Amino acid sequence: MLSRPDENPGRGAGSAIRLLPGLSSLSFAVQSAFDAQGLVAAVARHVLELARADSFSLLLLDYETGELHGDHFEHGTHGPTGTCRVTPRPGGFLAQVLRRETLIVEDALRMEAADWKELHWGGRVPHALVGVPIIVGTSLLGVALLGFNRPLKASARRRRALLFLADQIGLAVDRIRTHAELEQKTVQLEEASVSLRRIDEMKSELISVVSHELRTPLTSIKAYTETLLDNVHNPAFTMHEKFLGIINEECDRLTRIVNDVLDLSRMDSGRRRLKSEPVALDRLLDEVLPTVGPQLAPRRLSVVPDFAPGLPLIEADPDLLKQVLVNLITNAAKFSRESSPITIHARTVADRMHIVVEDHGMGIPADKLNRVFERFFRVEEGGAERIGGSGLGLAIVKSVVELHGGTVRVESDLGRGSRFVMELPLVQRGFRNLMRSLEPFFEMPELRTLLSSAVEMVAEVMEARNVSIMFFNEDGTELHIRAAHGLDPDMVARARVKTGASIAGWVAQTNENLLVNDIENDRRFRKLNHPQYETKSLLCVPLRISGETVGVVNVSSKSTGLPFDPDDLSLLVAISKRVGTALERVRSAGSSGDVYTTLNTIRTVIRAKRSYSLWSSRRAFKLATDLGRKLGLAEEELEVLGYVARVHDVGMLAVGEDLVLSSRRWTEQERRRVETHPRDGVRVLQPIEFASRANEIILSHHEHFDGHGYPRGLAGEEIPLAARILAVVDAFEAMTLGRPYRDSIPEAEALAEVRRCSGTQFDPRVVKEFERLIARKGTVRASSLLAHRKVST
Amino acid sequence: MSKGKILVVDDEIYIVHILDFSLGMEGYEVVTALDGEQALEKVKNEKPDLIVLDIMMPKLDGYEVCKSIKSSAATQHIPVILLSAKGRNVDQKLGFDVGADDYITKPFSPRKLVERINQLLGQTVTERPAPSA
Repeated sequence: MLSRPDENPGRGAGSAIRLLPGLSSLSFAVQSAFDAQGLVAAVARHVLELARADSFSLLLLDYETGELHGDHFEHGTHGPTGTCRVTPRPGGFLAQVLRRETLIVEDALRMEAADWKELHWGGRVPHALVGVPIIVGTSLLGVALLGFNRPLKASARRRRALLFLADQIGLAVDRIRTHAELEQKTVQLEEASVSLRRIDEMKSELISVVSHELRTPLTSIKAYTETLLDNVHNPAFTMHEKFLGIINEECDRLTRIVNDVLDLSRMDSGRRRLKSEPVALDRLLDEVLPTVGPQLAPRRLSVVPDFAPGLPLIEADPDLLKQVLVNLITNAAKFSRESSPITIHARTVADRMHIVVEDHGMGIPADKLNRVFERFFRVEEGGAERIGGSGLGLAIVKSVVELHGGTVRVESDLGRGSRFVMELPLVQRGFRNLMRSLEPFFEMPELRTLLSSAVEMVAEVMEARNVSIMFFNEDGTELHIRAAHGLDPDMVARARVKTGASIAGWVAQTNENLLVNDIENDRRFRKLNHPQYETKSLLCVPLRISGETVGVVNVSSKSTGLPFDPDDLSLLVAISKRVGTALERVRSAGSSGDVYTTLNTIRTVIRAKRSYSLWSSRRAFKLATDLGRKLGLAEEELEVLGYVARVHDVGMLAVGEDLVLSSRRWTEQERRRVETHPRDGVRVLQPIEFASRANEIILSHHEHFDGHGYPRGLAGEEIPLAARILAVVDAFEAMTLGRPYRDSIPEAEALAEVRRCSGTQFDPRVVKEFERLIARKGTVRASSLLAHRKVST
Repeated sequence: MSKGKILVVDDEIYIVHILDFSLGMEGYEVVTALDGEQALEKVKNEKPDLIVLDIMMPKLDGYEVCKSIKSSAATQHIPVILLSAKGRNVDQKLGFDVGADDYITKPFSPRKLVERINQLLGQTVTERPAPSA
């Protein structure tokens, strides 16, 4: 039924030449259209005209999902008549075209129903159908389908003409993509340049102001020092102590300016990373008072707190907020009358805390009120009273408060005093709501099951005996174990730890991934008690939902009894991200359907790991990550590669356990079924996959470097590097450990086979590095690595 | 026995103090002002022989003060030394445009400033026609 174009060019050139004038009008249309949509429509119109076809679909390949998507056009109608997104059926019509074959179906009515279903054909079923791959250079961009409502002979001439047309469509599509990318880039570039210009202007203005401010104390230092030196031998000179005191004071002033400028510039450039913690105002004030005391004492000023005990917590960076209070109190002190109080009022208004620092001083004239937060602006006039600050104190207050998403303003009664009013966000309502939305996971049976399955999955993938997931309570002050594997249930029920006094709390607060191999001697945790860990070697990473840390995942006791290493840590990071994605998906969808598909995914991973962990052994994981590192994969890519190396064969379960574990050799038909497993793997993992990188690696790990692999027939650099790495490791594992369809062979032979397939099946660069790696590692007895993992059947 | 009367104008009190000290040691009488308005008042009332003038000051800046001194027949003969943290060429040019006799950039050497003042006053003394003539 399907006929393929002959390789012989034959006499088809004639029709191609006949097409030429038309094609030049196609390229003209492409060049003159204004946008990508217009371009596609122009291409469709011309192709329908040139090929005298009745319908046309332009389907582009989405390399991330393996799907084809695009618009359908009918002759005589303006614009697209439909749109479709389709996953090519293995072995089906589209899959064949994607293997870069041009297919002409003379009698489309006799095509299989499954093929039509796959095509999502909008209009009436045509008499004849043509599918051509769209290729630019070596890249496969997609598929063009042409429908004809009349018989079509698959002559050599026609094929040549179609191939020629396909080339032109390819060029047009390439242009469309370039056009769209260019438009997007231009917009991004313009935005970037505007913001850079603004930053640049701000910077040079700041530099000129700062240099003036630095010169002022420098001028005093220089003048007084020189005068001291000139009078070293002058017996009448008695000002030594006074001059040195002034020099010393001006040096301090210089230091303050430099520090404040640096602080401000770090905040301006976003380099100051904001810690975000629940902060109690009364406790913060206790820490601030000793700092400001020396400035208050000589003039008998006092700080008087005026707020009820037990105020709600503020969401803030404690160090920065401390600086804000110091600056405001210091500022108030400068303007206060002797023996007057500086009052700190605080109260909550809606979801914000209002903090007011009030002084009883000279006040600020109305016309200066909105300038006090400007850098180096000074209220005092005439210089009568010299007040030696850096001129940046209030500017820093403003920057810090705004960095926290708050506001600050000043009110003043001239001659009676000023009030600086800050509004800061309370411990986030968003966080509270998020934690509240997770409550059902701890209450509803099916969600509890999801959570405990997630823990099982982590245990299987990590090959660890103890795993637990801890969640914050609503105000973020405690962590509770909500699901655990391998831990004493009593302990689980009791385990709740104070955020500030535990390792889990440290991880949740700092958002750092943690690998500890000697808990008692780790300097970071000397002060913390750690009764919840029974082993010395442990991993702990933050668990995030929608970018917000909601808790941690703890892993300890590797089943091999060995300590954890950094590769284990990045594997846990990867798998924890998937757990977060699963919880997020179920939480936000709220339909039971999502619970079951997600649960199903998690269970499939568990089952896959339990039933044939052989297939993606620990050694495969190590080899893959080592290779990835050698070949320069970025840290994030390595993390994904490690994870994929552990789970990529889950698709085999969809193929059928009976088949996978059968001891007889596979028939040709069974082999073809097995060939769908990369796609099945992607499908199975979809509910816990947030980014597409893992999908792309799984989908491509059976592609061959020369383009003869499956399922998409990618070649060379089209195959992601991580997939090319996995291909080598996977094949080596299959040969040395044996597969149902293949007996195991010694390592040296397997290595020779890998070498033999370099350049055809495998990327030569990867093979070369792989050989070096194996040579360095020496011969690893596969059996010894497998000794502690039994394969259940 | 005063060598002459010098008006020092700066909003930084420490600078005023050190100039007061250095010029006093040299035998000058020093009067001071802390902003531009005060400066003009002192020029009128004290009739100084020379003015050391800061530029960036509250109320009235040094350029304005200098312009005002140099545009009044009664005061235009008084030499003005601008003393400023503004070190760019355009700032200096602006200084000379408003009639300043010299422009010294901060930080400065008090010794050299005194030398320059001696020089300027020596010159002006010799160049100024005798009141009797």
